[in-house]
Amino acid sequence: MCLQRKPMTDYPFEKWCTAIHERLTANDPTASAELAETFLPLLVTHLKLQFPMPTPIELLNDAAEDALINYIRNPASFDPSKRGLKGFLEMSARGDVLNALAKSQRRRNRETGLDAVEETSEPGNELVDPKLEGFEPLVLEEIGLTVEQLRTEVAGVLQEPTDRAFLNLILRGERSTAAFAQVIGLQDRPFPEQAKAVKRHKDRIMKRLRRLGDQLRGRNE
Amino acid sequence: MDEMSKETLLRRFAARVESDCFFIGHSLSKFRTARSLTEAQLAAFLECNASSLPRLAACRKPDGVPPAFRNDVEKIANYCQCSPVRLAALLREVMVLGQVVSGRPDADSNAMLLAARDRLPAKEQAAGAEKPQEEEQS
Repeated sequence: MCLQRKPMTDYPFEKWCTAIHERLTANDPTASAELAETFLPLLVTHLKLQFPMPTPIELLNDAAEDALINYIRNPASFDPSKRGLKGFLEMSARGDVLNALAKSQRRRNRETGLDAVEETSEPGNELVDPKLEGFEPLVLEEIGLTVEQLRTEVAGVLQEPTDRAFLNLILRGERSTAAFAQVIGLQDRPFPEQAKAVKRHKDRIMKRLRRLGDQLRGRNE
Repeated sequence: MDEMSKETLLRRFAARVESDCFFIGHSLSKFRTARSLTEAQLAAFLECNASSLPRLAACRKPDGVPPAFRNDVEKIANYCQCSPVRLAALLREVMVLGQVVSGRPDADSNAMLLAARDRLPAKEQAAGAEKPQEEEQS
């Protein structure tokens, strides 16, 4: 297993990150600009290394900007006790790139008629992004796994098709309760019942994934 | 990554947040459009270099509550090396424009307007109302 550990981050930078996070949380008006000035080049450089050509540079820039804007608008999404700010933003940006690539792949599949299988298959048969190109060499640094290895691990803890279908919807950014309710066959039930069941189901899945994450990180240490 | 690249990235970011009312870039864009200003004219109005505009655009819009407004504007102006009086005037004008266009004032906008107006000395308010075109010509 290929392990890529990040070098020890220098202390002044960590200190700066802590301070900028506190200032963002306190609505300091210039903190967002200072953050963008510092982190845009770092994130874009990181993404260029993670996603070599032919990933469009525009897509990488967008992802870096999205990660920063999301964090600036909701600094509470970052929990300093879990990881460093740099790692958090890199993960967020990387996730955006993966989502954009997946979206692009699905569009290409639809255009070429290859998406028919995904559209008509039973829910949850496979996890999303099964054949994304361009990021296979990617190693998830925190847990020392490739994307493919991680997919296998996730499939191991979410063996029920409905659980996988739920996760697919979550990964695709689906927000409609009705869509989730349909997966568990509650589409005809009253909304409060749907919402309650969907939340319970989501919570259970996220709890399993968190536990898996803890295990993988522990295994990698 | 060289300085030029950093600058380009920040300019791109500034353009991106023009549509996001959380950032000052949104106000700068509205002001430019309303007054048909070039970037150089906008910089002249704010008494800063055009190269400071992306940095300014990436700042959070000041808090509308009066005591915080002045502090925020001064802090932003200091960071971006622009005139706090002109910046306050710009924000005030954009707020007014927004209210005129939407036709319905909101409490936060009113607070910001009051804050901007109350904290500016008469001479500075007059300066803030000048047309940027006049500055360019002088």
